[in-house]
Amino acid sequence: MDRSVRFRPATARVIHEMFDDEVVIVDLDTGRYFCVQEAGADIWRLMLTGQSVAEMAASLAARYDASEDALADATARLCDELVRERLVAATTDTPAARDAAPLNAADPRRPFTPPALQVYTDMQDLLLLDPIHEVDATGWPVAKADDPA
Amino acid sequence: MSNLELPSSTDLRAYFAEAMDAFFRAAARTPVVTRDLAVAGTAVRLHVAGAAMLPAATRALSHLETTTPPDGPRLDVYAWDGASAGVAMPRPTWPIDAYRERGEIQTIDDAGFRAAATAAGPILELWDRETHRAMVWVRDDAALRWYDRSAPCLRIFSWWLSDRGRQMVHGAAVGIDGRAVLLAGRGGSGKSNAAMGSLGAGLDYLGDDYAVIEPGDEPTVHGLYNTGKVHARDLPRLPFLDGLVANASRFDTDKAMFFFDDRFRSQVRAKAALRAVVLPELDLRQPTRLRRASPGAALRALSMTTIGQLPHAGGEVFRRLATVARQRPAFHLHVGHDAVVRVPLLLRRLAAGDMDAGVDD
Repeated sequence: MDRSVRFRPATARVIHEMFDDEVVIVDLDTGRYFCVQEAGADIWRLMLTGQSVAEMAASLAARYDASEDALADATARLCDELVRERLVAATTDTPAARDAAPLNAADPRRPFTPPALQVYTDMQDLLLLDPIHEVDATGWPVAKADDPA
Repeated sequence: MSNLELPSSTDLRAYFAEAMDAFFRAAARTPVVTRDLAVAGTAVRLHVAGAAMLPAATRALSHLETTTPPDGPRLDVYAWDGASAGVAMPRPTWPIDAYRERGEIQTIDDAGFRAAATAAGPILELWDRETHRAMVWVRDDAALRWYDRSAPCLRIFSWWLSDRGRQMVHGAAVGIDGRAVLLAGRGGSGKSNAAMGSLGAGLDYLGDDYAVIEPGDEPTVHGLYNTGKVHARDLPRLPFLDGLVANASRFDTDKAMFFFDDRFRSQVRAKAALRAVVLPELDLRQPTRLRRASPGAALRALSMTTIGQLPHAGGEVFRRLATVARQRPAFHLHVGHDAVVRVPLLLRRLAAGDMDAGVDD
């Protein structure tokens, strides 16, 4: 991946909540939930400030015990995954702080674990139940024999 | 409107007016019973036409009946079933494509009207934000699933309460002395069994499947339904429920269902201060134990199945529940082989404010 690339949330239907070391992301259209922790949460936070992959790696190097090159590789891998899941999209927009703060330089350094994107499908499974796909002659929904209770 | 067009809110309001005419024709042929309720701190008046519909519309809510309704706007809900009233509901004016995930009836705008349907029954729920009126119609009360009898007006209440800053959640709640824990997780995670076991152990009970959170500096959890459900296979472990099963003839298609409007009525509570969020998961090979959970885990558990079930729930629900996840500690509850004794004990301690007892960090 080109390390100068920047990202933005893919659509307004992708929403997130940031906690200290964790970000929960939801694609409201698909119902898929995602979670990134520690370095992954920092990458998400930095990405929203408009930093490129290289800039994110430099920011992470101030916090994590790993080389900038290794951090850039891990950042690019996570960004790839986020793009594949259609949570973010590459952008050529001029970087501008969006809705997140950069990392706090006063935080103590910590060991680096390459981030993983966790996926949860509980909500997606419910949305896919699609309980109504037939109506009777009067226009009212017809229950299938195996409709879930 | 052609059969391919989605309805507008105006179309649905026009339909609602016709449906109200049908309700009043039904009311002319059958007694109408009125009940005033305090639902999560808001005033709701139920108007039920037809003796057949009365238990399904009111029994699960009987603990919320009041002669002094809360101040503020009142929601009027008109409930009826076509079969016992002998009056037909106007035919739907929307095409099949309007039925979306979660039973939503999709409109081309978002002008304050909500509608949803379920196939079983079928049930139609309508809510008009402008007039504070709603309708729940069932074609034939006899066709209702017990699942629906356990949670009447579910979708209407979720829309109405959301408009008042309160959030319906898919979860159970139990507690002690005016304080409670909220149990959240997917179906089968053990919420209902934990709530039933706690009821049997003498804890306060606010529901096993749905509750309402009122956010604030000190978030509150409201109980909605005095019902409970467990798989029939779990009944031998819950002997205190003997004689309470409401649907013994329907175990083939439904869970065993209970009303706690008589026995255990003194333990059914309408409101408690929320102290913690508990995320149960079955692990029957091990002893029951608690482990701290992150706010993110609490948010996932609270919101995934809530948004996945409730029509029109979306980003606002996610953000409200995130606030609660930040405010209150969360715990994984590994429900083990000693759950009957240990789960109520741990939940009682958490509700009472003892956030360290029994926690493996």
